[in-house]
Amino acid sequence: MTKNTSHQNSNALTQDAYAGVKVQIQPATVLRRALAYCIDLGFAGVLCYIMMFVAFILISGMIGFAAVEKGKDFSLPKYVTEKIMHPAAGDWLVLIVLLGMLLLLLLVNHGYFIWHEFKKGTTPGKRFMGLKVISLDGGKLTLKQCIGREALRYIDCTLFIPGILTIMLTEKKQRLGDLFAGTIVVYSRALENEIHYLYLSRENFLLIESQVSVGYYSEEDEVKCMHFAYQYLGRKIQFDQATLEKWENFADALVTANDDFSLDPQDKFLFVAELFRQKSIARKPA
Amino acid sequence: MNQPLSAPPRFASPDAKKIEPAGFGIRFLANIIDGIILGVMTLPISLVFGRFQNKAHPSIKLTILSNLILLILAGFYYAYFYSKKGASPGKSMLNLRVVDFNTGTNPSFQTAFIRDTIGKLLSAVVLMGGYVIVLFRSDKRAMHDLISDTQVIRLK
Repeated sequence: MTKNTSHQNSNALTQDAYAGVKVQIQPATVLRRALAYCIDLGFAGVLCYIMMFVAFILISGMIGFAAVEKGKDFSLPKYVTEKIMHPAAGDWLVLIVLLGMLLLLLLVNHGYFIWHEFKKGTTPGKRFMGLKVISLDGGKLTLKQCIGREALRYIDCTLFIPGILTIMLTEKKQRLGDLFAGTIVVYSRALENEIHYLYLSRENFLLIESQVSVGYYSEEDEVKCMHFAYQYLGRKIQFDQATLEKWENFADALVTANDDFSLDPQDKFLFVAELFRQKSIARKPA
Repeated sequence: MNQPLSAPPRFASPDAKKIEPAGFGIRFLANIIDGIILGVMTLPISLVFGRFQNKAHPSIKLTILSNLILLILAGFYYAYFYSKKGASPGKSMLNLRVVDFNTGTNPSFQTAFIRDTIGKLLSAVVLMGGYVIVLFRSDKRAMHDLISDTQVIRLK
């Protein structure tokens, strides 16, 4: 019975922690958005390249087959390359192929951004930089808003000066596309922080941290413990029983769990190792 | 107060999150992804250098200078991401982390910078020998890992 209630309590706490994160809204800065955009552009570019490659092979194959059926004699890819290299030779087929490829390129390039923003609220680059796009009324984006943002990307991001200026000058750090569509790009701290955790997942770490009290420890202990933890957990080096027990006792003495919260000794050790890691990361100068 | 009847529930079961050294193939893939992103980011600089380069008789000085600048920019890119987040975008996508070999924390900015400029240069200089040794070591460390005392691990 007690176990059950503690479990329910723990669930509520994690949800509160996440809700607290979700409520926090902070507009993103220019540099972070530019980095995210570069990452996205790389992925969109690779997608375009693959699609063009496939389309080129398919189209050249089709033209070749058509030519063979008509009884003309020329090699398959050579025809296409020669005609595209010299469009002045004049062939309506070449024009259609070029237009089709351009259309495909635009479709993939814009589809990447629209699809990700509409379906997931972020793009992979934004997700990595810990950003997300939300509507000004707080909800998810509609398809109209996504397309509006996307259309103004030509002015904002290709000419880049209007985009940077409007992000710097407007109060909510919106670019022209954001202003047009009524959206805002904000930090999503949960995503940004997920990346740090090595020995425990973020959820478990926050849950345990909220349920225990940590005693006093010296800086020397901290460094030694981190050193041992990585040798033991990361490099899987075998230690003698005395050393293992020493550090388990250290963790046991340091961490005291609340009354209705039972914690495995091994989890205590993992928690202490992760706690020290988090502290050392936070202490590092940016 | 209330002693639990059975053993208390484990939060991190030993099998839940295994840490193991990352192998050659997956690190190669991560580097390709990072290379694409870096390529996009440094495209304007490459274009400027290409503009000044004589196409018929390329000058060796400008080539070295441009490569050096691109290398240093790449060093800043990796150093920022390794020290701040523990992984570059490409590595993060494949669940890889770069950690300090002794303590398991994120490497510092200087360490990461040296790893990805001088370290990688030295690894590449003898027929990519520094990279190839990943295949033969049990802890899967390349020469730039040995120089900067780091390790690349994979989370499962």
